[in-house]
Amino acid sequence: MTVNAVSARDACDFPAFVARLGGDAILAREMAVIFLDDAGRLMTKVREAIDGGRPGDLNAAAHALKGAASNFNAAAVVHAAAALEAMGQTGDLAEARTTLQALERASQTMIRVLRMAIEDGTQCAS
Amino acid sequence: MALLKGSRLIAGVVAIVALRSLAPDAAPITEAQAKASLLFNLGAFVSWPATALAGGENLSICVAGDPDVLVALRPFDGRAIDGHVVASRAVADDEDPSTCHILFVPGARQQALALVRRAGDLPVLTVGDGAQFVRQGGTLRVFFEQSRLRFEINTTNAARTHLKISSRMLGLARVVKSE
Repeated sequence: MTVNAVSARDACDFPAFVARLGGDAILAREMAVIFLDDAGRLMTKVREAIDGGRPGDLNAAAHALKGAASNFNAAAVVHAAAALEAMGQTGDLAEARTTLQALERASQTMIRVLRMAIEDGTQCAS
Repeated sequence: MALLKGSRLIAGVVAIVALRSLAPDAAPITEAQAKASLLFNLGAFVSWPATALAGGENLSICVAGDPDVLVALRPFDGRAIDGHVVASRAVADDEDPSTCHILFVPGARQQALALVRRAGDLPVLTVGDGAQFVRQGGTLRVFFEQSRLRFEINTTNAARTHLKISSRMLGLARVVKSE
């Protein structure tokens, strides 16, 4: 799969997460901060699993990233992470590096707009 | 979450610096309020077996000896999460925890760990804030690190109690497995 450009709408939807938490914007922000703090670590795990040719580790790391990103309706990240998770499950990593690039682009956009959303109160999906 | 303002702020209760910094326009909330909100919202991240929590059944949040958290939970009583109306109550250390869906055990009360042991394999989500909680039979630990909220989940204990924790939550938590 390819992701050439990530729109703000596909990057994340923080208000949807706030709504899912019963409107508790403060808890939503705290959980978003956890994600922002951990996103780099999860990306590193995905990258290292691909570099090391370890499909099981890729499956687990991509699954965790997909789950965390889905809180914020980060469609592009979820889509790419799901593809990598599936590759990890089948053990076929032939397209993994291409998809990793898409994931990295999507992840960078998501982190940028999500950080703006929680720091400035702006909406990352508009 | 309702925010305590001005004189309503409970003196002496730890305010969460990170929460204030993230929401500069909001009044500070207490640690107990943050935990209460989390306990309430956990219902959206955890699935109980139908035999333990049938559709439309009330979701019972039990608190062992932490009056601040219990008070902070009051505003959530009667609210629904995933179709289940929440009801919170205090639970004594020698009580049967089987009627609880979520059981909060504060780390300061080691004697309350007896409740966690008694919960055993029952479908009760045990939540605590003690440093060793998830290594003492508990499933989810909530704590603050550098003034920031963090979670730790023991997936072995979750599996033993037949609770399914969403990947949305697992992806935000540190995952611990027991041998």
